[in-house]
Amino acid sequence: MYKQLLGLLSMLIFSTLGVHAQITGVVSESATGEPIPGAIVMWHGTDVTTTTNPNGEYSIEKPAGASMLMVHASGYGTQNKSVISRKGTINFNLLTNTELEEVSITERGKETGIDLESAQMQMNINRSELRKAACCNLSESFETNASVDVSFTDAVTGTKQIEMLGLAGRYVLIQRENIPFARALNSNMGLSLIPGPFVESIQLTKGLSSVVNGYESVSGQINVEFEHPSQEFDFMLNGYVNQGARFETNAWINTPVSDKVDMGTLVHYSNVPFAQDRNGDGFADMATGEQFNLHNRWKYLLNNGWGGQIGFNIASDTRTSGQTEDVFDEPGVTPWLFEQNTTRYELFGKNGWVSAAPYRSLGLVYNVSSQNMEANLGDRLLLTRQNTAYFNSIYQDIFSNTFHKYKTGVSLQYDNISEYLDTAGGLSQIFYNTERTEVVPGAYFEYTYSGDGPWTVVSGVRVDYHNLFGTLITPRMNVKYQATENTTLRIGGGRGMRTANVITENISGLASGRDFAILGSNTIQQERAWNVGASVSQVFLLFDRGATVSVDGFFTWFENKMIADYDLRPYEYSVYFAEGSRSTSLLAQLDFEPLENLEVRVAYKYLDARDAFTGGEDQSFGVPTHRGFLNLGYHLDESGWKFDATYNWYGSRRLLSTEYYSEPLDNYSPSFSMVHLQVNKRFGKEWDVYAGVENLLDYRQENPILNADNTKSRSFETNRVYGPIFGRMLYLGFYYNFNG
Amino acid sequence: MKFSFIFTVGLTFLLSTQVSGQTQDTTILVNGICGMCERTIEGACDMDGVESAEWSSETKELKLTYDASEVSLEDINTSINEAGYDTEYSTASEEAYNSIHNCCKYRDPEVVRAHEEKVGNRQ
Repeated sequence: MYKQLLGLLSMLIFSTLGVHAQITGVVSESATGEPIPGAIVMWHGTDVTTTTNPNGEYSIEKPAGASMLMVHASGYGTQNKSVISRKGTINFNLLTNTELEEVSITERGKETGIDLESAQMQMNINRSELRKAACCNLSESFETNASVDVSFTDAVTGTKQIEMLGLAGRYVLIQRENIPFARALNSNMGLSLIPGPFVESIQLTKGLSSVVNGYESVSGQINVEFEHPSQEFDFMLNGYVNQGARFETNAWINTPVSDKVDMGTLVHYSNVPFAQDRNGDGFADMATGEQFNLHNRWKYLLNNGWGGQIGFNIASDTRTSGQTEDVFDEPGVTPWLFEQNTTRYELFGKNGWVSAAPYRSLGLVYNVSSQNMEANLGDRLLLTRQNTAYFNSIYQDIFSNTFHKYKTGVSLQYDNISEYLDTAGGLSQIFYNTERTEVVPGAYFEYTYSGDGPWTVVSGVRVDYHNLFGTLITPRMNVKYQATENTTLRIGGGRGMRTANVITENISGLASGRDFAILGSNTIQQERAWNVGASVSQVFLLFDRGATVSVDGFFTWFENKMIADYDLRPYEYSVYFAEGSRSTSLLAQLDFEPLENLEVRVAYKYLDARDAFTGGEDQSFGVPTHRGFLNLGYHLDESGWKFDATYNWYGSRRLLSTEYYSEPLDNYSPSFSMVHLQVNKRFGKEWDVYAGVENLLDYRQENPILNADNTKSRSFETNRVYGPIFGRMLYLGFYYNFNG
Repeated sequence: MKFSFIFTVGLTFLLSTQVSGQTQDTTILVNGICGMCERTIEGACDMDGVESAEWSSETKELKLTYDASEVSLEDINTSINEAGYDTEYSTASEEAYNSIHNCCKYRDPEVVRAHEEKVGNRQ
């Protein structure tokens, strides 16, 4: 009797507190609930491991002392759960790698969030922020961002350029998915060749960042992620039209080809069929022309940890501006025209391997591209060509534990670049014809300390051997100190360099009656600079909601810089290299939510950019010393309405001198303001319609072109542009998105 | 054979305490993070026969004093699981775990780290 009772009770207790107990569960995909077979399940710090069966199920015994259960599957993020029980059910829902990236951005709750984790001053800009500025290519994507300025450099080419830290866009390393993109000759046009709707997100780093992707950044780094192919069918169509007669259409199709292969295609076509001349100067206010852009890639994922992608990109851009026949009809006068054709072909690929331990991985990145540009500006002819090949390898691992990570690898950059210029006619005719080949093998090592304390340190160095400039050493370091939970301090600095392209990067200087002069015999030189920066961000409560205030300051000093000087000699655009140019920038920004769903961003920026001109150090041309910024966003998620208003104030900036003209003008521009408004309305899951107005106050620069009626004159000048030419502009557009 | 020996001994002990009606002290491990977890865990032990229950977020140890003639360790264990907390013996059901407050999601290392950082800042 006693024995029977004992047996019964022992069975009861065995079933609850049992010894042969195991942890069981299902590993599935978070979004779809589909089981994930072959996922690795492991007790952290032990060698007890198992994999999931075809139904995604696992069971594992708990060894003594283990308390962290880890699950990892190729193509998904790793998930850890603290488990102290010997028995029971623990299920895992894994996010795919792309979802993980999205979440890491959206979880910050801000459309442009400062990345608090990163040691660098990095901002993530997601699609919702990008859609606040509905038009048209990457350069416009920064119009709602206080760190980057977007401006025209001249009145005719219509190529928008960005500025960061008071320095031209060519000092920013612009990458598409961590492959350097808008570099060398493409630094001038590159941003125009990235249609805005292709972009899924942007990571913007101020100051110097990693050494992994080369030595070419000086003032910052912009990484653009395109829409990724995924295991879900996804179709998007966008249409846009504005008052400037620009219409544009973008589409993407993402589709699984098999359970291992996904394909994605992005297409863009835009056209400005006719020119308009609102200010009556006989010049088109905006360039006409068309662009075609096709991006296609294939992604694959294997169970053994290997994955990758391969794809191509074709872009063709033609534009015409100046005294086009739509706006200019004077018998007997030969019109001054700007015409430019650009074509670009690119093949790219990435292969990666992630080990079962998620901190160990290897990435191989490569691309080859060919770009041709031909342009004429009046009677000046410019031909350029660039053939590029790039390879980079990134091996990532840890020293002893995940507090100490490192990245290392070797790279090879090959560029064959030619520039040809013929400034026909007149006494000032010059020919410039040069070709160069750059072969740069390099190696780098970057160490990251990110422990459980308040310090994060990223320190790296790369050594490259350049066939023209010898050994190049690029040290860079960034340190983050988390003073309190809400206070983050950062400091960083290092060196960056790039090879200057004397013609392409001064193309706007050709849109002028003045002489084009390249001073000095050595025209193939590297621009080299040191940059240091510091920032502080503080999160605090304001109106019972989280608010962020951040202040950052950067200082850049050039060992060597290519300088464009309008004022060295009358009627001459002089290009030369000199040491000692510098730029100081300070940005203060406050983000807060005074009412529910109303987000406000206020920013002030101070820029002191000074160039080491031959005639003595002076303020750089075209950089406003003071700049103010206000953005209001009101979002009603349930009804699908979104309202955005941006106010920009630009202080006075230095313009080229006209003191030797018959009617001299002020050497400094007036300050001015611009207001942009946009309304979005979502209809169901699939439709999003938007309308807006740029430059609501209709501010227009008077006389953007000097002596527009006499283009043969040496005082014909398009480079005194500081503000908008076209004035107020209305636009309309839609997005249609179908997920199958 | 060995297991049945342990169980026989263990059960003999359990049965003997049941018979005697005296209170008994024991410690079990319960996963959790914060003060809110502490209230929930200790609240789950608030049943007839339990004289005292004290859980420490640092050691994860729950010190129990209970009258084995009125309540079994198994019942207490089940009650803690039902409140959403894992013990060293068994896990809470998915449903129960989901019902606890987001800041108490002790299985999530991110949540645990967030708490540790707060504690670290206060010190």
